[in-house]
Amino acid sequence: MRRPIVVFAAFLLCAGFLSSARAEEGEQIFTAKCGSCHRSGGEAAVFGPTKYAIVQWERFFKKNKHAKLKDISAQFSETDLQAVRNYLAAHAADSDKPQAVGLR
Amino acid sequence: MRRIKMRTFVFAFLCAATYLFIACCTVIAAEQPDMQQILKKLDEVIQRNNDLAKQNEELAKKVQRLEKQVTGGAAVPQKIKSDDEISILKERVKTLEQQGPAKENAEVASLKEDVGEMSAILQNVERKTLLDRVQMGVELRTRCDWFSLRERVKTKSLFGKTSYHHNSDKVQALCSNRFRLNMKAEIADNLVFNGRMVVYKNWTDDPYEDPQNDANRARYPGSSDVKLERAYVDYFFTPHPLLPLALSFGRFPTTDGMPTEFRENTARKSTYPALAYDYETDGAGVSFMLENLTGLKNSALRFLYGRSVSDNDYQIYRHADWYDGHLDEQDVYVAQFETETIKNSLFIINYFYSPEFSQPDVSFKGVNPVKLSSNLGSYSKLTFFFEAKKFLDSNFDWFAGYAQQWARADGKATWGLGPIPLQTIGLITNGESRERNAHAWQIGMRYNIPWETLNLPKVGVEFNTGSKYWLGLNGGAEDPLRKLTTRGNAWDFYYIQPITSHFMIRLGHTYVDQRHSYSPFGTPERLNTQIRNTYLLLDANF
Ligand code: HEC
Repeated sequence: MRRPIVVFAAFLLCAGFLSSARAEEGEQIFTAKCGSCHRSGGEAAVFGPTKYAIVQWERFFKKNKHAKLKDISAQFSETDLQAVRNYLAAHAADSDKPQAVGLR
Repeated sequence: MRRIKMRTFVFAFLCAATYLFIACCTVIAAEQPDMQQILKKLDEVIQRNNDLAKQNEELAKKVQRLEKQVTGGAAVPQKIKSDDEISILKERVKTLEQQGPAKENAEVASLKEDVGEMSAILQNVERKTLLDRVQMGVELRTRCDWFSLRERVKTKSLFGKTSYHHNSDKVQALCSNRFRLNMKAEIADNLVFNGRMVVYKNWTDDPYEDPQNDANRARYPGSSDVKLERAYVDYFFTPHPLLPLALSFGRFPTTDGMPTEFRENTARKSTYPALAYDYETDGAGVSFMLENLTGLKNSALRFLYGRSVSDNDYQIYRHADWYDGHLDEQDVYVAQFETETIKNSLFIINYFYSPEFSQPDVSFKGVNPVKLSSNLGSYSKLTFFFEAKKFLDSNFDWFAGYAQQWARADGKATWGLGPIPLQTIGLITNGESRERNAHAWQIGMRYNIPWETLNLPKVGVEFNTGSKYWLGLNGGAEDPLRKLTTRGNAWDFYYIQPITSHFMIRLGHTYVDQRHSYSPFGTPERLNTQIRNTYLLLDANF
């Protein structure tokens, strides 16, 4: 009985550290590109996905509301925007959030 | 004579002259207002002339402006060549004024009015929002369980012959309602509150005394009990940019441990893996966010402290005659490292330590404590857990966990009738001093069926096994069989059918094969018992 358990524990450890997690694409674009203006001391205010609820994010992108504040169409492709939109909607204020002690 | 005549003539002349003078003066005086009017009119004429000049100027400007609006900024002839042109331009101004700016002005005015009205309304809405400190959400679950039991029992006849027989039993359609009121408040940017109040009951279950019963429970003045499952505050601060911290205190989210959220079809809902601990806990703790330091996504190191007292009913500190045995404190220390490894995964190493395991808080009718001990031994558990959702971008989610337990039984408690001892217990012993080491492991997967027409249902299978002395610490688990406490093997199968994003149905079957009896106290007895549960549950979350 002892050996399978050790093997199993070792497997778990390996699975755990197999590869380091990378942020999903939408999050990456959001942090790097939207964040180039939306940062502390930057051109625009800092915000996170919980700024809006899901339908509000959908509307923000569908109606291209950013254009009225600042034209950013040159910096973002259609797929970029789609990825950011998915990321923001998935983590919006009313999305199902993970819960644990000390977890944002 | 001549002289007199001359004198008379001069006098008459003077008189006439005086008269004429007076008359003239009177006439002039009478004539004066007319003169003023003339002057006034003159002024008016000059004024009107000026006005006309101004109007002319304005008109020319307006023509230019309107021409600009009409032509989109193209050059406008500056010089007006003839009267005809002026009248044509005047005509155009008139029509343009009627069609364009006049209409626009009306629209702007109405919009302005709307904006004013809206901002007045918004003031109220904003005020209400600011006063709504706590966001609320509701989870309602109705489930029905069909349990069946089958056990093989060894009996000895009078003549010493052993024989075996099977017992079986059933509980049909035991239905329950579970209502959860979830609360969240972002008190400030770095101060967050989370809470949950619960009512969990079987359908019209009746533990009350007449005339109260479950069917008039909410309509009858009774107790003020509300069950509080969670209520904690996280305070986030950053003493060093590389090491953000969170200080947490209250009643912690330590139920529905991972991977319970697979079955529940939610995001992670507990701090710990279920294999480590699945109970409610009160305490305080600190979390170090290690992402900036290690580069590992969502990595954190948490230290939590909890304490339980068994029986504070007497509040012994308020009495002069303090005595031992009523406040049995049990301290719990937990250290946990967690990180995301591959995408959508969670890897956890959890160490749980309780240096002085306390006796159960029991007082039976007619049975009294004979000799108690506030320390039955020490207990520790090391748990490794890993889960990954949409593993390598596939439709598979899976998890695996392993836990090793070290228990050192040392101390006993005895109950009896008066001074006569009836039962003695220790930590997983009958009172002896022993090592009670054990282990358990679990593994499972869930498949996300890509059927859009059926709203993407999910199927899952889970397995876990625990050794003879295994102590699950799963009293707060979601499943009624508390399968992770099993000293033996347990299987679980389920099917999740989402109906809308706020409503789902789950159908499941749990099979538990118990090889040893389960309790934190007393030596385990050999068993051959199989319990099954088939259930259907309806979940509405909003
Ligand atoms: C070129 C700089 C720049 C980039 C890049 C940029 N923004 Fe903005 N953003 C602004 C400015 C400027 C404003 C208006 C000022 C403010 O709200 O701080 C703004 C405002 C916003 C607002 C606030 C709208 C409101 O009504 O309060 C949102 C939301 C927003 N941006 C989202 C995004 C997202 C999402 C991205 C990436 C896809 C992005 N921004 C990229 C400059 C930028």
